[in-house]
Amino acid sequence: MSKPKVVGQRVPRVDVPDKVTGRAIFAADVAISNALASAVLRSPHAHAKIRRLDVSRARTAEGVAAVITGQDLLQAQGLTMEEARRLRPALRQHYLAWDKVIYAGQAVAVVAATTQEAAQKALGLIQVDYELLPSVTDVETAMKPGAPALHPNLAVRISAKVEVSDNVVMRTEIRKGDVAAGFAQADIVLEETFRTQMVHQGYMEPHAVTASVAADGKITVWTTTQGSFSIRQGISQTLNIPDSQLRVIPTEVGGGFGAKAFTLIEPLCVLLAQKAGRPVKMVMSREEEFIAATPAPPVVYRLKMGATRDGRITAAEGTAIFDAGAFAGEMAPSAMDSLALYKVPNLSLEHFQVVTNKPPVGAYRAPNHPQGAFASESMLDMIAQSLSLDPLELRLRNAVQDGDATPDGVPLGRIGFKETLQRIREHPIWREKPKAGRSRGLACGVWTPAALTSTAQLQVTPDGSFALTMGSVDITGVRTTMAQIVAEEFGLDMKEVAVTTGDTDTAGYADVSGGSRTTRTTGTAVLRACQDVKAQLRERAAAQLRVSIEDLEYGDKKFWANGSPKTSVSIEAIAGKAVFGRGDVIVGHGQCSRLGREPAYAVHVAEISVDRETGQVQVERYVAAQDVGFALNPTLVEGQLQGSAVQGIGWALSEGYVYRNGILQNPNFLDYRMLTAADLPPIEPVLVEVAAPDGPYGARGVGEPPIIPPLAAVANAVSRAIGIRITSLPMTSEAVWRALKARGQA
Amino acid sequence: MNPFEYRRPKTLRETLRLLAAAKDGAKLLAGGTDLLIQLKERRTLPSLVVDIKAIPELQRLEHVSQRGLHLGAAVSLNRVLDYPLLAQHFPILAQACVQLGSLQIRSRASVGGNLCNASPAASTAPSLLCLKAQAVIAGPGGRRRILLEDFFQGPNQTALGKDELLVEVFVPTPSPSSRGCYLQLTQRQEMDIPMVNVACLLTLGRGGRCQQARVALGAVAPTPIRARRAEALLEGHALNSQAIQEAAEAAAKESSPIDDVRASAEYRREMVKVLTRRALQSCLEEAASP
Repeated sequence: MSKPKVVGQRVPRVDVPDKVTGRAIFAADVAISNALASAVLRSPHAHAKIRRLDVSRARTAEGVAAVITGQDLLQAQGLTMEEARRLRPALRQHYLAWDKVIYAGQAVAVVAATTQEAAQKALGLIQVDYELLPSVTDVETAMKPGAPALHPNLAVRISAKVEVSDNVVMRTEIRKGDVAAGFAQADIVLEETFRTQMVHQGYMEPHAVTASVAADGKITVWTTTQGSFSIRQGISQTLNIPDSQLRVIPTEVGGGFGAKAFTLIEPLCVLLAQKAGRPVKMVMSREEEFIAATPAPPVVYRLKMGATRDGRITAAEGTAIFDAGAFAGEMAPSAMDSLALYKVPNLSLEHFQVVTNKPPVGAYRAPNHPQGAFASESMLDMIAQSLSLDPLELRLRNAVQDGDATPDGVPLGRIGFKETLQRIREHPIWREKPKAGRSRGLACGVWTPAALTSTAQLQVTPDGSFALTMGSVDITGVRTTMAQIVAEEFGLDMKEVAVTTGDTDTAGYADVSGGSRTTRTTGTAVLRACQDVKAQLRERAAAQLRVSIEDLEYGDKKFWANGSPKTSVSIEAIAGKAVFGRGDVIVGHGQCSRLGREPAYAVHVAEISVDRETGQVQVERYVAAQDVGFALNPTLVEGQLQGSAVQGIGWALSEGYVYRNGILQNPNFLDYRMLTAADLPPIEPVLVEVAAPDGPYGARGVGEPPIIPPLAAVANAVSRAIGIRITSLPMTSEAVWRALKARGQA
Repeated sequence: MNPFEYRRPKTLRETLRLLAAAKDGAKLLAGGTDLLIQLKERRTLPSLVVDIKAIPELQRLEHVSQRGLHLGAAVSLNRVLDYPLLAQHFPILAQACVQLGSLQIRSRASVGGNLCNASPAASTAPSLLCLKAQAVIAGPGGRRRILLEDFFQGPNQTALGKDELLVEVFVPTPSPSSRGCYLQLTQRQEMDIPMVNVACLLTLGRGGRCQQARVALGAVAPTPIRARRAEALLEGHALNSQAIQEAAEAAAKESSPIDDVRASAEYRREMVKVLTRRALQSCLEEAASP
């Protein structure tokens, strides 16, 4: 490839002018005339049987057009409650409870009415007779025999080493080598239990949906989502509606971070619109987002590791307990991923997934990886401390490299872990001594994106412009980078490329934008669409110029025969023929559903100071290095590293759900503290580019890796500052003060 | 939000008439940074909201030389902070105002609203208690003037009657030889509510002898309070680190914090000690430097 002109450049995001001037249409901005407002009745109890649910007075209240309950949801599935209990014990009740509530905030009924006030008022007319049941929100208690059982009929017989309660819904095990022998080879063996808390993705835009049913029954849904096709599938499966009867139009997204990958309130909105015979709009409040969306799971992770005196890891053995919230999660928890950074010859890891009376957990940026890395990267730091080794040196000695096998036996291709570590070793933050009163912590992370599926359609318009349509939703600048690829491939100006995220009826199928896969998979689909268009154009140009395709040259939107640049045919001339049937339309397709496994590595360093009297931690300096393969748009890539680091630092220092008697105590942005620009120094990104053979131009996935290291990076820095190992998050000022006090140092 | 009637009277008299006529209680709106959230979350359901920003007396911001500052109840914090004489004569008020909320909040919120909301953690309260501020209240029977320390009655409770309103806070100009400091402890730099806040104002005589001391605490009692024992330990004594330590410990003993989602009572009490000591130390250092 000749030197790229558009990719690799700091091209401004195409969506930003509208977003910063308030013109962008978000889901809550969708205003269909005649649309009804809605309100949700939510359980005030953490755990209760619904003995009786009477919505008759609400149904006849002024302005009310429809009220739905779990019964209606079952009816849409063609099930009676008895059948549902018998046949589908695992039927998720996250949308709407039908026989019991399993967390405070769970939806019990939804009202659609002419005004928001009328809908709110009607909620007060709904009578629910609850039979309270004992609840449990702490995962370690929930796991013990005798704990209140959430889903007695879901219990799976689990052969664990210890006796566990019926709330354990999944157990998996990973084994490699001989752990006992590995520990026997070790000069030091350390063991510690690490705890992370439930956190929220903190997207600025709450969930919002509008559903409208046409006279023929065809449903249109406008929603804020990371994947319109995922929403179509969620609605169609929940309400038994064929795909052909459902059109999902994705709006601009005000942040998702995994929480907008799947349906949450969309099926309820559709059901209400069907019942009411009028469009219905649902908008969640911030409080509802906290109590009834899909936060990230807390994890209790006991980890034991052994190493030789010269810092070689000999064995790791651990038990990770994932708190799934109200329902068994669909994602398999994996604590293994954080250990996949290193050559660990002997490994034994046990995972438990346990249900508790809290909202069901969902995806959050690099799902489950930050929690795992908090444990393993803290443990690495402990090993470095006890062996008096440089923590970066310890990692270099154990780091996986090209050709090493992952724990599941697949050999790694070209990776850039060591290169990233070396870049940090040369960086002033590691090379120079910290100022007095400051301490540093280092931690690493790895993420391997799945390819999933993407498609792209590229059309050349009659004036020789290009129009790209894709099913992928733009959450991080997708439209910009995809347009950059088209501009690069055809030597265009960005202005000559129109780029649109289509809806489920107009665009080819695409899985969700998430998991650091979009640039790679959608980018590959776009590249293939470009190749398709190129082939068509060349064929047409060759015919017009009466030369063979091999003899064509291309430049400045023109083709000419090798050696005779004066006789050329332009793209415009070829594409313009489509008008009034003088020629075929140039339209290319591309798709991608398979890419090599190409992990991306992140190495972060936090420099902090601690006020030893108040326990307050101040992040003074922060460097985030990452192997990004190739930065298609360095500004956007740096933004990913910075935003991700900020989320991870918040997880480390200040964020966390606080429950008391089954009720969330901080369902707002005041007492659920995400960090702001005022709290943090500039996050310095360091881009390392070890090209990935399968990524477009060598690009690796960038969004997930940088949220993995910060928890341990900050904890390692704090632990070194105060000389006490912090094993539990968040490290609020009071938590640090308590740690100091316990040692008689505060 | 529930429907309500909105009025924006231009005079105090009209406002008082509206309040007297409102049967089930009206809500007063200045910056709205507390009220609007309460309305949206349906924690208050008033039938009448009276916007007091158009009343000239409530927008008064004037320093009458030697006497004090007339701080109208609806004056925004950013206006207060922009007032040229504030930092010179009332530094502890400036320190409190600048740490409240965020820049956006401060362009809406008022000192009057901060006080009338009567949160035990109100950022501006400890400094104003130290400055011996007075609340000027208007009601059907005319005006009355009470000390701010008598204004707070409990969490979210003030001495205001149902048909009264706060017109202004009058802040007497402290002695030119006084030194003060306001500190608050929050988890975040901005957009947070103090776990503990402390203000102190000392008048120092020759040889560092403390002639007058005021120490006020927030978020550690049902209302913002004065730490009178700490004050007594300081007054008439030469200020040194031992006196400061004793006063800080006395202040901690005078506090009666609770456990809540923001902090434990134990931590709060300890932080009263730390913050009081640091605030007093800062006064001492300031007095020592020319």
